[in-house]
Amino acid sequence: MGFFAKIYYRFHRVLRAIQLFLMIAGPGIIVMIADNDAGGITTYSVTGSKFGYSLMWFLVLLGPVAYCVQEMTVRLGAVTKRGHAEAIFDAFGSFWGWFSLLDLVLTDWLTMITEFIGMTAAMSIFHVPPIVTVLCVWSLMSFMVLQGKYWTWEKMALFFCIINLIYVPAAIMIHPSVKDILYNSLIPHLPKGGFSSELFFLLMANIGTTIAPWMLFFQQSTVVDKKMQEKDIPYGRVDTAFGAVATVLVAVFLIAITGKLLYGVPIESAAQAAIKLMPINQWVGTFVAIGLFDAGFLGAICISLASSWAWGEVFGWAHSLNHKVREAPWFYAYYFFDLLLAGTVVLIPRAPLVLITLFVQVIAVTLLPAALVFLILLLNDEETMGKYKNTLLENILNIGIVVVLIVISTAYGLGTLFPNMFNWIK
Amino acid sequence: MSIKINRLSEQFKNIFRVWIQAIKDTDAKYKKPRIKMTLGVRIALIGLRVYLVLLISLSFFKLFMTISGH
Repeated sequence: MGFFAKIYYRFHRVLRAIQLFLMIAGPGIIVMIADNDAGGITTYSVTGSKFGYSLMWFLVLLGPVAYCVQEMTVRLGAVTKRGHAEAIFDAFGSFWGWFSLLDLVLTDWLTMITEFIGMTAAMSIFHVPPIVTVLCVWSLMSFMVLQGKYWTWEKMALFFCIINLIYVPAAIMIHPSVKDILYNSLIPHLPKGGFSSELFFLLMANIGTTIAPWMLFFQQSTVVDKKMQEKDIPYGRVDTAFGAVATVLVAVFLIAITGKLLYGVPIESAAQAAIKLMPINQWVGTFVAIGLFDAGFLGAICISLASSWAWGEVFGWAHSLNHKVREAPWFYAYYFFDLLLAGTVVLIPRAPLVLITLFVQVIAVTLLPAALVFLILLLNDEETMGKYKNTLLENILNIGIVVVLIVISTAYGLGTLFPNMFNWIK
Repeated sequence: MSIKINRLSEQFKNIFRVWIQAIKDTDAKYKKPRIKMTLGVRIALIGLRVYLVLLISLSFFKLFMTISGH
């Protein structure tokens, strides 16, 4: 009897833990999958078409990197109950605060435009005019936030996260070699032709899409809006880890598609990849286009909220999805303003969209190092973090990651500014 | 019509005032950094400033080169 009682007790505990996890899960999964935004999907498509499966291991390696950085925001949010923008203002004063806020707003707005570019390009494959796409996205994004409940927004966002996994069935449909995928995912090696400037630039682009400044601000704000406590940190970690696995899965399966069907075919965007896939396999082409739209949409809903939360936190205005429009007018006003502005730019005839896409990278590298350095410094502030401050091992690991991220994202930004910069490599 | 325009411009002025006041309040509230300025923190902040000055200068240099047609 005692034996069965023990089993029942353990089963009950596991069940309770799963229930609790399901209640707390969300921010980590959403931010990680939204990391595979329109820009990310384009980078993965190009990676597959240029180097086949040979860089899969690199993307697998980036999963833990993203986890380590985002895990720190979970701890910071749960302990301080403050968003990242407010935490920077409070700890480092108004100069760094304004710099981070304004840079975030500019980066987010420009990135939002790239998400709209991705969405309109994806829908134009189905002959939907950009104006219709933009209007539908505006309506859907407004509907999502106007429910007055964070939970409702999160459930809808999770639904779009599931759609992002559309690349998995799409890849299965083309029967890729499992042995090749496993080998290329687990064994680090250079592609045929060895190291080149093109390879270096693509590796940097993949790193650039792994950690974006808005992700830090977004996850910390969602942790606060969800009212997560210190005791919820372990669940937050599992949530983030699940998200990291999902983001790697999406990247690997998309590379499996473009690496098998478009290897050696010159493509410059995910929309182009979808168009070129259509004659080969209509279903796979359609899935890639749907995935691109979904990626842009997920990116847009997260990025616009990251900025709105940041404004609300800093100015002390009501800034929660649990508030109605009347209760948090500025929070929603900024959200809709951001949405309208980004969508409108895409609709302007002959708008310099390519220039905007390039400019995003340059602006992002002025913010990312600052946000990452502040994150490390805040996580080492004993007065704020108490027993949740970084341990020595965490510091060694996280500082190492942050230094590598800063160096490579800076090189990527400079490579965007000066395209011939890395020609000396080969 | 002119009454409507006046009302609208008054509303815009109010919004503008709210923003200016919010910026001033925020600036005053967070004037002093709360974090302890240890050697590590100071080095990190100086490093950040140098990094940003270099990067922004390079961006402007590129902009200048592009405009001047080089």
